[in-house]
Amino acid sequence: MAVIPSPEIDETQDIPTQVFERFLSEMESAGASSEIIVRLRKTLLVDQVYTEIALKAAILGEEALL
Amino acid sequence: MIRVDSINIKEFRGIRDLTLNLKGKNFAICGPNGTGKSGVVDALEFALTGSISRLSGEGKGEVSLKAHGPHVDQRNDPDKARVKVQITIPSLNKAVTIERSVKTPTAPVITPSDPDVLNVLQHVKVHPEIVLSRRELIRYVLATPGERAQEVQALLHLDRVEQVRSTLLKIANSCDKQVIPQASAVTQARDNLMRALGIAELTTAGILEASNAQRALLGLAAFTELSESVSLKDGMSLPEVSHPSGVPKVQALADIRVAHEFLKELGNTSTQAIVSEVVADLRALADDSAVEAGVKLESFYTMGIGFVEGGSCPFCDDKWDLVELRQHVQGKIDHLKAVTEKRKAIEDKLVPLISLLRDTASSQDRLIRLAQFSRAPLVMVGASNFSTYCKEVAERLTTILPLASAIELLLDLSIPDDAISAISSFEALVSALPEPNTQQGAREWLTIAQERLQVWRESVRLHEVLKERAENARRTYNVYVTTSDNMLTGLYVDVERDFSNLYRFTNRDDEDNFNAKIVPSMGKLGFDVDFYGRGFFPPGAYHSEGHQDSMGLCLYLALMRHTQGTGFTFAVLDDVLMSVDAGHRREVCTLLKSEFPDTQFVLTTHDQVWLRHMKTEGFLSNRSAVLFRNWCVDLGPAQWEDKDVWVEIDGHLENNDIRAAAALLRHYLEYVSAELCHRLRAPVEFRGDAQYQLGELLPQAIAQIRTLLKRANEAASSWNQQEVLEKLSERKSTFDDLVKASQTDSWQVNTAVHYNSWDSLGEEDFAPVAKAYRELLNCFICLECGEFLRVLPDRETAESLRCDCGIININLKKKP
Repeated sequence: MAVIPSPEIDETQDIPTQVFERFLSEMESAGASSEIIVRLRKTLLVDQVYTEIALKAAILGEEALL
Repeated sequence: MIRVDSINIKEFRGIRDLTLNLKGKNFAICGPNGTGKSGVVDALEFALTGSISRLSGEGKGEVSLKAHGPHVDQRNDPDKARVKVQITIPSLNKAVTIERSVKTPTAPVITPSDPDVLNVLQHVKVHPEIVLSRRELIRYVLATPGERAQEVQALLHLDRVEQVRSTLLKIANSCDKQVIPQASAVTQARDNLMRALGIAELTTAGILEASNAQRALLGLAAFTELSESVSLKDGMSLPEVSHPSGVPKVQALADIRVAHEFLKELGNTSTQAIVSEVVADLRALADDSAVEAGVKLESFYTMGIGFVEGGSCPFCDDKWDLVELRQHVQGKIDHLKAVTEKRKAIEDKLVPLISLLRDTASSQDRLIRLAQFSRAPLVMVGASNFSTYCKEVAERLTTILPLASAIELLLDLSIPDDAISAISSFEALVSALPEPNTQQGAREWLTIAQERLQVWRESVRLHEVLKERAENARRTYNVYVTTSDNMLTGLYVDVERDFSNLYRFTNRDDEDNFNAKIVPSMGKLGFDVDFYGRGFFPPGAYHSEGHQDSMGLCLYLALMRHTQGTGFTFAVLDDVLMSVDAGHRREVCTLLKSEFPDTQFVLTTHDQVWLRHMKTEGFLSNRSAVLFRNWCVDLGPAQWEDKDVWVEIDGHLENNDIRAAAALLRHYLEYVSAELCHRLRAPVEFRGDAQYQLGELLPQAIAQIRTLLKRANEAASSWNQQEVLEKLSERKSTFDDLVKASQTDSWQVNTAVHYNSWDSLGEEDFAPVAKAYRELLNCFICLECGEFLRVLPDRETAESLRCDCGIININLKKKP
């Protein structure tokens, strides 16, 4: 009988969550400040709000109000 | 995630009251079209997610869960339409009950409602793709690349990924836009400062040298450095002058000169040439009606093309050619995109003119401000109006729509006489002023220089802030795009590999080298498959419908593995392998069994042969299926369940409806005979169309039992099993008596007792017939487990005749 190699799969998270987690990790590697990472994590993974206002506040912090 | 142990359905869709015991195992629902199979599928989906995909989404018109979820006779009482499922959550080792009514679909009663249970059920709810019909499945395969991308994106929940990407792009672009005018403001502030300082290049040394020279005239200490806290006026005697006590003559003359220069530039041939060129471009665009509609229309067409499906317009029902219509709309979208490109080119040409207008307005404003210090009243209305006009025109030209308005603005662009005369009057006034004394001049110089230094510093600071914001936003967007692209490309590569492997497995007889290409690009998902080594083509190009069905299932399975991993524990496949032939269905059974051993599949089919395949391949256990024989609106689906059939026949007899009783007995015997011949491995004259009549099956099943009992007798003799021989003799004797009573043996020779004549009998004649067959069939059934006997193994030399529970186990093998 033919044997099908099993794919490697992250079993705990859906695809968007995996993308967001990897994105945050890459942001960290790219030198983004920890404040930005914390705000982005809350917006993307905890609140799961993807509006312009929410993401702008996460990326730009209080300056978004300028 | 979950496994379903049982489901109870009441007054829901076409079902009145039905309970199925799935026991957490693979399960099949078989029956002709219209017997209620999809009602069970709907009930499972409803219980687990609170919705029914068949009653929602595109093209469902006025059909809704609330109005059409209940049985038609309970449509005004949705609370009676209820589905209750017992499930197991393997990861939590918990049994859970979910009960949902159509009246309150979003408020199920969940027991126990522990947080970890609710968390798992929420996960199920956001994965409604556990229920899939053939129509949905084939869409993955045959859709256009754009549509496929949407289908797969929805399946993988990639809409969230895309939503974040587009929002981040919007933020990055809006931050970029804020930087450009601020850079212009910095340039203006710098030029103003340099004019005030009287230097040609803005350097710290230059500022210090120029300001120290003025400070020396006032006897003030020279600065050696220029920090943020330093004011050029530091140390000036009190009362400190915040503004010049009159018009600062030198500075005013310099600013007047600049204002003249901007006015000159605005009226020169170079600027006029830009205006003429842009006006010509705008007039060319104005002939195209698509321009005015612009972005809105482009969005409308892009959205609309997604709704173009089926053979006719959903509004007026006029027939349309789908391919032609799509090409037509796509042509419009392409044209609008070309127009957008042209529009952007024109807007780029206008950038220097807009900048000149802003500089001109700024130069006018400076003169107006200086004029305020004049001791004699000076009216600068002309300059003020012109400044306002320049600002308005600059603002309105940032977007060229509406075109007619933009053309009119450009054609009317001129320098009004009252603006020129206002500047001339101010220039005359300033020129007539006496030259300031040295100290007064130094004081005025330092005051204006400090004011402009502050403006420049602030504009530089703001520019830096905006630049940093823009860089942050752009970097965030770039990191996101790179990350998500890499991950999704990797995902599609994995899915492509897994899909190819799964399909190769099911078609390894002739497509052992099969491969596929899944290529994502710009909102599309290309899907091409290898056709016997002749190249890669769309799946619908050369492969048969059956192969396309297999591809749909394999792509779905590959995507689900990558979506849910080991969480893929439950799936309902509604008639998904309709076009797949028998041989490949066996392979699909093996594939599901071997590759997805932890997933509970619920399948529906109208094909009893496929149902038998699933059993013989070990994909289903013998009791893990239900066979619907018919459906009526009053009762819902009826199963081929022994006890129900006899109760129903008795009911017909009580009502003296011999015709109905006879028809039911005959249909039941047809079903049972086929099942018995299959289980007992009875030799039946082969028919290519598989359309067997009762007279071709039941006598063969009876004959086979006799043959098997004879072989069992020989086997028992060889083993010298006297007790067994006695039981076999008793069984055979009983069996022969019952066959005789049923008169089946006489069918071929006596038409009076043939099953075709049953419906013409009276009650007193038919009741014994029904009783005889009921007792005859009991000889084929284990009264303990209720299952029909079967020969094992199902191929090669028969070794035993037995039931599922093992109470009946008759040896057929002789002593060697």
